[in-house]
Amino acid sequence: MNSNSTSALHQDFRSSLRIESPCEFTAIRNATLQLRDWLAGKGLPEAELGAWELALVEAGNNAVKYADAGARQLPVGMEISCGEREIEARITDHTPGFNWPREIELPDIESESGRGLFLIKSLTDRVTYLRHASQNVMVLHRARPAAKKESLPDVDRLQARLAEAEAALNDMTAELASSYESLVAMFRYSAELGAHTDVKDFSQRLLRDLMQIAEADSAVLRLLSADGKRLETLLVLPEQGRITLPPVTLTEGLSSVEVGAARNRQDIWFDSAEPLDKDDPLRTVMPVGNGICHAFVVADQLVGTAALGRFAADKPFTAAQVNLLHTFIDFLAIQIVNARLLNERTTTRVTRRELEIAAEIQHSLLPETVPACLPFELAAACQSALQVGGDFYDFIPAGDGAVLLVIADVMGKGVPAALFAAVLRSTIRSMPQLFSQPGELLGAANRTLYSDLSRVDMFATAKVAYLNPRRQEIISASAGHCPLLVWQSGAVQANAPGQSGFPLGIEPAVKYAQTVTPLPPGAAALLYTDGLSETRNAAGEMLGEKMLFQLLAQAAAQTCDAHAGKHFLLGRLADFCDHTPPTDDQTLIFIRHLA
Amino acid sequence: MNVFVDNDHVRVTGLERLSAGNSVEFKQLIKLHLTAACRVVEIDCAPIRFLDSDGLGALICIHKWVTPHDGKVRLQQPSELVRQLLERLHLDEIFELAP
Repeated sequence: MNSNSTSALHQDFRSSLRIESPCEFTAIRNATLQLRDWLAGKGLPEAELGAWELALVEAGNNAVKYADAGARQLPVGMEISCGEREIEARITDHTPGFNWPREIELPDIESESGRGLFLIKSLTDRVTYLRHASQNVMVLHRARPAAKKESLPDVDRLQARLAEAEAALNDMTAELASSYESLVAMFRYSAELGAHTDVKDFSQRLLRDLMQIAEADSAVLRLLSADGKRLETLLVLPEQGRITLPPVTLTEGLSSVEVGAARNRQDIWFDSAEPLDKDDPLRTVMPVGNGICHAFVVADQLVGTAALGRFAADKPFTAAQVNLLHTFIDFLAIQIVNARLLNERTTTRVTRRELEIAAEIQHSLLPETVPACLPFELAAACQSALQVGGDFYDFIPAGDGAVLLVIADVMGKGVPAALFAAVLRSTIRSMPQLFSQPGELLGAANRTLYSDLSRVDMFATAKVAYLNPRRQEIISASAGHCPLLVWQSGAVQANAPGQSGFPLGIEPAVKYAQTVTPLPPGAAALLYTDGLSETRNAAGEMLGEKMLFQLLAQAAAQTCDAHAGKHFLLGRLADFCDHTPPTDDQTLIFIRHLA
Repeated sequence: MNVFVDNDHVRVTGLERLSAGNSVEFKQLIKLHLTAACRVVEIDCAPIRFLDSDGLGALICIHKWVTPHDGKVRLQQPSELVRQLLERLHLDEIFELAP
């Protein structure tokens, strides 16, 4: 791929000459000879011409030597102005630049390099080196010796000069017009930014404007995929052909100039002399002519590539048009990155609000008061994890002083889990006739909820227990839930009676067995969710059911009522976790026979 | 430009320009003709119309090749332009300038 292959020459009416030279030594030498000839036409003596020739070559060669691969695609500007008393030269380079030294000394006499700046300094009266973000300018001044009076130029020569001046003026006018158009476009885009325009629409309008101003026939805009492995097509213009370009992989698409530009982060030119590879996907859009592909980055991160093409092979993009491409696309890159950041912020806000809603739903499911059930006493706790889950418990008065205890865990997190928890709670509460038969109650709840749960691939585990104070027993049934732990006075440790059936929502018709467990005076029982038994400490060790058994036994032996027992358990859990935040909700119901 | 061996000399004639554009090739060409017995490089500077710092770097490089073997670089008939340039950079101290 090549750089712009011809020098652009402009001569203005203020006695100056500007040449844009390709960034290579031979071209710099040729440009310098043109400048020298022009100065000779001004009547400068041979010694002056020699000094300017050498100073210009040294300055131009520096612009070539220190240019990186990307900068070598850009022209070196060489301009000379001839005043009555002074001659000024400006050399524009695209190197990283340097600080002009206060003192310039000659290197060691046997050093093969390092004399360029010394020569420039010694051949001129004043040198200024201006560093900018994208280019640098070396300005050389040297007094003009008193010139001999020029003989009157002939008419032909004057006409030739006039024609050159007109051509230069036309070029300058065109360049100025394109700069004006781009500036107007930028203002318009900036005004649109507050209107939350879709990135693709915005990019499309910007790319169309760019094509028009830069006189391009086709354009392709690709963005780096989220995983950073591919360039995905955002836009292909013009759209008439409905051409679609498949993504190109950065590690594999080596025949693609877009991949080359993206990997090396530099512009790549192509034309009839060095055309696109036959396997380059860009050929579908730009089969003939010439073009340029520009990789755009923001904060050193690749964002994508933009390619502009022209069908005419003999009309390459000018340096001014390439500058337009850079300006438009780099502006677009910033808008794309800003839009992504805004999108991420919005998503984060939505997620946070969703969690707040889920937490509110979950909190509203919990009973505000604990019903009396003497001689039993009840206490409960529900501690939410960072990501709100679907745990809940419920106390429902069931007649004759009995209370139905419900503890459940809906699979999943966030609002969906909280909503299904609400539905499960309502479903159970709507069947008071089955409260004393927990097995039947779970079967009926499963039949009611199965179609809804299975449709969204969700399920819930639940334990329902009918606490009968008159018979001093508890009748329980389980839908895939953790066992009921029971401790009786004098027992060495708690035990876990009963069987467990399928969770709700797995099978359409399930029969749930129910177990009757006596709760004699002094007994304690625990209903809980797996967030409690599966809690982990900082070392990653899980509490486990065996240790939970032991904690229940300790709580029952060392406390006298349900509240104290609950707090004992929660305290031991906190000791075990040692400030490690829970990953799942932790819910429990502590039952204590007070006698 | 012609480069040829004449007895124990490598002679260069017809050199009109020695600069960044041709300095590398110039060095390679001279190196091809240097032998253990041929360590004096004699350059006819009369035709030289342009010499820049890269061209001078090439001459210094050749000078460093030949001097360890008692060789030298002789610049013959340097123009005023070349002579002034060498003096400006004090390089007349290491090259032999012959009228």
